Amino acid sequence: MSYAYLFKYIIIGDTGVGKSCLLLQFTDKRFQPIHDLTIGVEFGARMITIQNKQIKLQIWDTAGQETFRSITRSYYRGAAGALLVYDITRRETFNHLTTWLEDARQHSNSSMVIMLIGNKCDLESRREVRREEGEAFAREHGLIFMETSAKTAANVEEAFINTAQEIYDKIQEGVFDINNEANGIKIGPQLSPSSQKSSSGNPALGTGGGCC
Amino acid sequence: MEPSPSSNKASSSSSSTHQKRKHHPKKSSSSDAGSNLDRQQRRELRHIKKSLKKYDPKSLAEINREQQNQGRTNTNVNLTTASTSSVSASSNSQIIRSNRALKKEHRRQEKREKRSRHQDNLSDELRHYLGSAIKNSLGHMHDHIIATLPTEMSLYYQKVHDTLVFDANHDGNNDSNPTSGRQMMNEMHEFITADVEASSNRPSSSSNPAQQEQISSNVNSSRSNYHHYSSHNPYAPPMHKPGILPIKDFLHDPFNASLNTLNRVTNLVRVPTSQIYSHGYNILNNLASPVNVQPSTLSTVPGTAERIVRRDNDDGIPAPPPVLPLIQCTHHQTRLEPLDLEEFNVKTWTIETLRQRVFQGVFSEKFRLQIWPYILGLYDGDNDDEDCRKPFDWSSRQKLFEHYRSQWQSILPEQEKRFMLFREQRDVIRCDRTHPFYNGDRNENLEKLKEILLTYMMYDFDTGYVQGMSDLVSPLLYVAEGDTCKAFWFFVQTMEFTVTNNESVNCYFAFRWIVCQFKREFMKSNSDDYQEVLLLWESIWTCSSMRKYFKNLLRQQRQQSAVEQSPNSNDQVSSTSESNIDNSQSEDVKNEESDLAIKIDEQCKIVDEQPTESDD
Repeated sequence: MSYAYLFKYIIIGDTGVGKSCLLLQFTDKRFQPIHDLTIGVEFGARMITIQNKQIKLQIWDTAGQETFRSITRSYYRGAAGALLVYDITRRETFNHLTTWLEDARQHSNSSMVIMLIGNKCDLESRREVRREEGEAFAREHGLIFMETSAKTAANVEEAFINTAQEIYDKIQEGVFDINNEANGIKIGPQLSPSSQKSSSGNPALGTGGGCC
Repeated sequence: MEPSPSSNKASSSSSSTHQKRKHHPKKSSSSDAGSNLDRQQRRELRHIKKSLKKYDPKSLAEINREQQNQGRTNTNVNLTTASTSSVSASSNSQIIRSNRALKKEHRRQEKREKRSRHQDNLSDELRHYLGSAIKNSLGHMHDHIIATLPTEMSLYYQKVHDTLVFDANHDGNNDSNPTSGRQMMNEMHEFITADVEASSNRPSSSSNPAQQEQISSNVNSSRSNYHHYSSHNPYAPPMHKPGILPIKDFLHDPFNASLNTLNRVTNLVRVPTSQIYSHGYNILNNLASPVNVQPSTLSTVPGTAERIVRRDNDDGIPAPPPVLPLIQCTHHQTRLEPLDLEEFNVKTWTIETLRQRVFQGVFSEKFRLQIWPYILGLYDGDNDDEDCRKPFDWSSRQKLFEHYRSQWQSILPEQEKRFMLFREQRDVIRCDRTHPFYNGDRNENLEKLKEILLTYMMYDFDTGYVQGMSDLVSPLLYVAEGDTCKAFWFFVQTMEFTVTNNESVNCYFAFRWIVCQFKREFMKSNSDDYQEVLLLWESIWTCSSMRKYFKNLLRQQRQQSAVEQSPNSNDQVSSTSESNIDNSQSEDVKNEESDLAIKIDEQCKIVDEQPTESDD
């Protein structure tokens, strides 16, 4: 329950690239081939550990269709990390990355960590986008890159955790203003300054205003 | 409160009457009063203490203990000091008289208090003493709340508290911020002092020893913060306003009385949001539990949430949350029995009466397919009184449907490549696959679903295809028993209810509810049953027909009120003043009615305009 930080993520990308499946694999460790399509936005959360710190990831899974773009845009603000997903078996989803990235940069805070994800890497036979292309795109735009498979769970954990690691590092470097919640980072209740004062033996119940 | 020269020393030894006696003569020998007076004072003091102890020795001891700890630093008024100073200010005769009174039973003593000025002084001291007592216990309770509540709640509580403290310290600035903590403090103060009358009627109850132990142990744990809270505690009633504390209550049972008071404070904390409420419910319930008060004797403070009281039945069952008031409907609605085939066949139904009937009771049997064209507004003839029992004529619709369908069927694969929306029909596969109707890999109904969606794309280019449409189509196709033409036209009509929901983009949390008309939400519990969804949708579709229903209702009301007024008008002849009153009353009724009519018309306009807007 108690955590040191809460990071807010957003998952974006074209429709049908496997955003919801990635989330489901990460939060529930299962793959659901038949999945109702996402309308608007859905949520998931999981606790991870980075450098012995408990970190809660709050993940906002968005709908991919252009029609819902106006909704998706309103969720960029207040996200610390974004997973930009494309489908390696459909070139068009890769071609649309630029649009997505522009959208993300425009509507998010500048320090948001963006990870580029080429999903469905289990379908090697139907591959349309080479791994090198993804890497090049990531390098060009300053993103972290990874190929994943929500079906086999390959690299799924890593994608989420590496992003969190990056955010955590940025916090340590002071890039993120952790007191501004618009950055998508919340300090957990156990870090609040008054916890030492509290003699009631319950450290989670601080009276400081740092976490609200 | 008069400052007393002896206050410092006296307060340091306040807890012990024995010590008090030793100190006291020295102090008062310097005053004008003689040794006689001293003796009387001492006897009086002893008696007050005795009478207090008689009512709740435990709590008194506890309060004394607290005061001993606080005595040197805080500014709380001390009983012994206070009474010493006031008694020495009084005249000899008064003391002698009061001394006699003090020897009597407590209740009789109380009665005499009213008559005697000196006793008034005494009750003032008691008031101050008890004021400090409640201040202390509230201070502890504050700590207790902070320590026990879940994070969000305690933070909120702290916030309220801080605002109050801030405002109490910046007393002059309260005008600039009308909803400031000062105001809240006043509110809270009213809470605390509201029911002096009612609480005096309350049967005094035995305090719970376990709770007392808990609290007194809490006293120790929170001692480090204690001074802060006691000196700034905004929940303590202001001392300068006499006569506002529920004195009788405290005399009877100081411990429980302060807990009672605290419950009002927790009311303030609990009321704001339901989320906080749900988290804090159990804990607050525990906080409230030591008060063993019968709910029937509880006084309710207007404008507050009902207090949670857990009765001490102790069968381990937590008390149910307080019942929230039901949303009041503007017009009382009686849900009718579902429309069955028998009833349908015996009556003549116009479109309007049928829609009203469906709105009030929906269907009981599977003849939806027969009725839907009428209630969904597919009938486009001139005759509004069309008998709905007549089977709907699909022929023209069928032709139109085939025309639209042919348009997309003739699209070349090359065209399709540049038609992103067209390719997105893959989404059909991701819809209701658990439902038996759409189960299986090569289910023909899935193909039909695609067919309908693609045809709709040709029917309405501007809307085209939006994810979520498949959610709307799937139950319709199910009702249409796989007939794509019928399902398509049902869908076209259904879309008119959703297309105008553009503003739903702003309701992020409810977006899916609105876009899919709650389909996902009502499917969740039972993934292979459309019945609940259909019931809801039919009500949505037919609600616009309630306009006529309301108008009829209004007409009936008018007739009724006209009948009621007619005997009055006969009596009016006798007195002009009466008739004036009656006239004004009937005018009020008329105004009310016209207000209602305007409201209904406005509502109906909104409902009616929706389809026409979408046509544009």
